Amino acid sequence: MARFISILFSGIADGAITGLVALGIVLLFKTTGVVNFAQGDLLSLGAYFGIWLLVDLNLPSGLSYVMAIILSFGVGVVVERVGYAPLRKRPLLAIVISTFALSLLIEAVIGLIFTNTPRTLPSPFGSGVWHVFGAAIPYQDVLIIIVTVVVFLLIQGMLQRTTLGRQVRAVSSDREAALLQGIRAGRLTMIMFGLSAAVAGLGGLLVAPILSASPTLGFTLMLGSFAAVVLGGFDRVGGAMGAAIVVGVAQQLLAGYVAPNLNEAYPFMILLVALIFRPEGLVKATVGVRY
Amino acid sequence: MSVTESGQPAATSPLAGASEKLAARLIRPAIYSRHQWRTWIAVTVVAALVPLVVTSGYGYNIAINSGLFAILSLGFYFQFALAGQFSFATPAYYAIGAYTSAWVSINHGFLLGFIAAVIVTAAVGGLTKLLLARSPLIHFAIATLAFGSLVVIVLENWTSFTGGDQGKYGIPTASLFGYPLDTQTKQYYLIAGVTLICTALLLLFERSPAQRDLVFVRDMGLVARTSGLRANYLQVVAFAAGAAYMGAAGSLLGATTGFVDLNSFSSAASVSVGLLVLLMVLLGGIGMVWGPIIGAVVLTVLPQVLSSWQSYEQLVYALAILAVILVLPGGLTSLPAEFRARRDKLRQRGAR
Repeated sequence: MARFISILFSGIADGAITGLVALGIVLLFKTTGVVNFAQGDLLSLGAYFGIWLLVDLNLPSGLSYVMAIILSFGVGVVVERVGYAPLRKRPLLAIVISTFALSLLIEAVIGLIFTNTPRTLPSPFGSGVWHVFGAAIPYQDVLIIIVTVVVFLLIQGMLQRTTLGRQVRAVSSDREAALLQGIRAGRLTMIMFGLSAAVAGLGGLLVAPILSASPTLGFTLMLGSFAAVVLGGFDRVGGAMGAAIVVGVAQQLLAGYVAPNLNEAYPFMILLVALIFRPEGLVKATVGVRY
Repeated sequence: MSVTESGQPAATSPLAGASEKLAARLIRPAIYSRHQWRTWIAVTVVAALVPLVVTSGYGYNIAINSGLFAILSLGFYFQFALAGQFSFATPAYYAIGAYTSAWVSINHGFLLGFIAAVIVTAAVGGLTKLLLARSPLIHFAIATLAFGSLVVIVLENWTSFTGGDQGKYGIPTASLFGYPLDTQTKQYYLIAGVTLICTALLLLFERSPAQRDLVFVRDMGLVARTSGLRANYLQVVAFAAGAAYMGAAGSLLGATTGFVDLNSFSSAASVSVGLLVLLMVLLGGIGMVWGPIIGAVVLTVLPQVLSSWQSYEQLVYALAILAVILVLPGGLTSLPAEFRARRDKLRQRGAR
């Protein structure tokens, strides 16, 4: 029982991180119809911003977290300006390749500045654990789950209740009509790129204390979130988040009870099986290809 | 989606379309052009004369590597430019080809190993595309990313097949019908020969009606289906053919170096093989067969000349991909056509 609970919790925490990356992918897909392959590397970038500010510059932790998230937002806007805006009218594949190139670029820059040796970010709670039914759950896992739930609710609220969210939904359902109504789609895209980068950066800050940060950290995690996004639907925030948790828990359970040495292979298997049997995801996307 | 006057889908690249008018001007009916064969003969002559210039073992290594990457890039060209399917699984097919060939050729000799590698990778490639046939473009790209990573994980764990960390040694060097190709010159000729045959096959394919159908399916999938084309069949075959090219390259890798290890394909390196091939195809241009070959040669020779790049390799490649996509979507081979279009435009202005 204790083993099951600890596996379950680490699965949910893993799923939450995957979900944060997936959240960014879905937000961008809703506004632009583009899948951003640099999302994972924005997560590693967030982790390294945290390490740079907190460990190397020794700033107070609260300030460094906020600054790391703001910096991630800025990088997201730059990604939009360089990798998306000039290519907006070109075929989808051109944009996919350019975001892939940006992902490699970010990875290379991190590798050049921080070298490839893994680094860790200290957890705000140290290495304390919380005992539930005999299972030891690290405080960091609890923090990840709580922060993810809060971010998820904030973004859902933003989409449903604010002007910005209404604009996103309008652009996502009919871009031309939204433009005719005076929505500034270009500016909206920029904000959404920034926002999804900020969410990914936050994920990086949360995950760096558990998994040590390396330049390829984000890219590996992103593969798991692709599985979640495909399963949950490319334009469904809630669906992607739920699927991410399911993938995370399934991965930990399979690793814990079936075959631990194939741990990293499970998300790929889930993704491939899902795509073979439900090619457009479990829930069919309501948004088609847009330019 | 541009359509020429005759109502047929134009042979544009899947990345062009920056300005449809310019694209329409750039389209040369490459399919029916005889120049392709003249170019092929010219390239053959140049390839045959390479050993006159190259004398050192180091030079031969570069030449052999450019040949291998040219075959890989041609495979990617088949999948990406003709079938319109973007795949991240290039290193996976390369690795499958290399290990299959190594496994077969240890007991049965090079030729059978080569044939086995081609057949197995074609089957695996066709199967991936067949199973994922209903996936939209981006889903397919993501799925191949997952497939590529799975193949690497499987190979890492299947040590009896791959030889584990030490790699697979003792692969017999290439020999054809009892005639051993044991010197680097002979191996160079083998690889140049295979590259040229691969190119010739692609040229033949580009002249065939099948190419027109394939491009039709790529550019207007639904219309093509409605007019009775077997869209899935065409794409599966094209994808399998591309994978077979990659498998052939893998087999030749083992046959020239004598051993294969996971370092050439696994995690970090797999990104770089896939990335390199992507960059080669984009830089050379996806408008015609010569693009990938030019890209492969340029990008194998250049890093050797500028060896101080080493630590900035990935940065430079990423920047190069971005630059090509943004500035020169047609690649190097589109430059002459681009110049011609610009010159014509200037002339028109002068006439007015």
